[in-house]
Amino acid sequence: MRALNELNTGPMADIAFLLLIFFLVATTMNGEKGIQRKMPPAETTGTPEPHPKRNTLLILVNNQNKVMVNEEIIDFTHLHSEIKKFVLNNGDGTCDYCFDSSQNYNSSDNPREALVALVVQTETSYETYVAVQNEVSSVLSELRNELSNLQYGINFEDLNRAQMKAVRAKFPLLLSEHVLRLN
Amino acid sequence: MAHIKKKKSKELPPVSTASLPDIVFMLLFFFMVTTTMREVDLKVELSKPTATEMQKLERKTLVTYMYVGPPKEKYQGKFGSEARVQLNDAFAQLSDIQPWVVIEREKINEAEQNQMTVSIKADKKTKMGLIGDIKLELRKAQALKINYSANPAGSKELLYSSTNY
Repeated sequence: MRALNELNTGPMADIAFLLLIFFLVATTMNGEKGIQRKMPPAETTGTPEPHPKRNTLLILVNNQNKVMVNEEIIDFTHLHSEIKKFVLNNGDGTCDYCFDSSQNYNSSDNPREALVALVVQTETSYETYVAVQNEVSSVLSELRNELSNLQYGINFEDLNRAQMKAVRAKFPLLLSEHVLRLN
Repeated sequence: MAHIKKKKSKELPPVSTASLPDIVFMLLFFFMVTTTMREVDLKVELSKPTATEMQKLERKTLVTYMYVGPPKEKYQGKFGSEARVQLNDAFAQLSDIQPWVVIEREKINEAEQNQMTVSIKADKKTKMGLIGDIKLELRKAQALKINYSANPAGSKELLYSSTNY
């Protein structure tokens, strides 16, 4: 008796190739990434509470993309340390988890009060703006990571939800933004 | 008998292509899993800024994209070379943003509508005046979660050197 012929699978490869080529053409490889922010609602009832000056780090970026922190033009590479010094400052001495922090009474009370105010001009480039936002994020993630390693012995991103929340509450992202329009 | 058998085995058997579909399917599944569909036809020049501290957009269904940048060359005759906003497939005015957000929000299932994220994909040379206006419109439309889309920089040093501060 003759053996049954094998199934012809040649065309199957053709079909699969066709699908493969379709997906190759129709898709993009890179996953979407970016800096995440939450904005305050537009309706503001009444005048905003005045924030003590010592608890505010004013970062100004002008039309020429020059960065000024607390009325002093600084090199962009120093921005990170300036923000970190400000956030970590333990002015009122209530921050028991701030390590290697200074106690400068003219700077922020503690990390829960430290507000970064970012003011840009209309001609400031988006690139610089994102770079400054990146520095703010990087300072906070650094501090959160340090605290998490100290308290739980693991990195911040490995914590569970409740732990993350606790750490975040100790180093919150307090950011105020404004676009300065001349005339 | 033995003689005939020997003669048969001397013929070269055809190369079996049965495993070819398996290989191709494997590739196919790889691409299907790792890729995301290109959402729209880009009408603006988009050279994204670089950053290091980025979070991945987890839930694709909750994300809506907005493009900001100078129109591509073929559209410049009609729309000029100043940075514009592109929503879906068309250039839009700032006043179109609020209705657009409402429509996009409707597409998300009701329980998760408050988690909607707008991903702003803007060209790095865009002026902050425009970005500020866009953000104000988004705030008015109650789209408060935003994401500044950026390309990853290899390292901090690279980030500093790639831009002229």
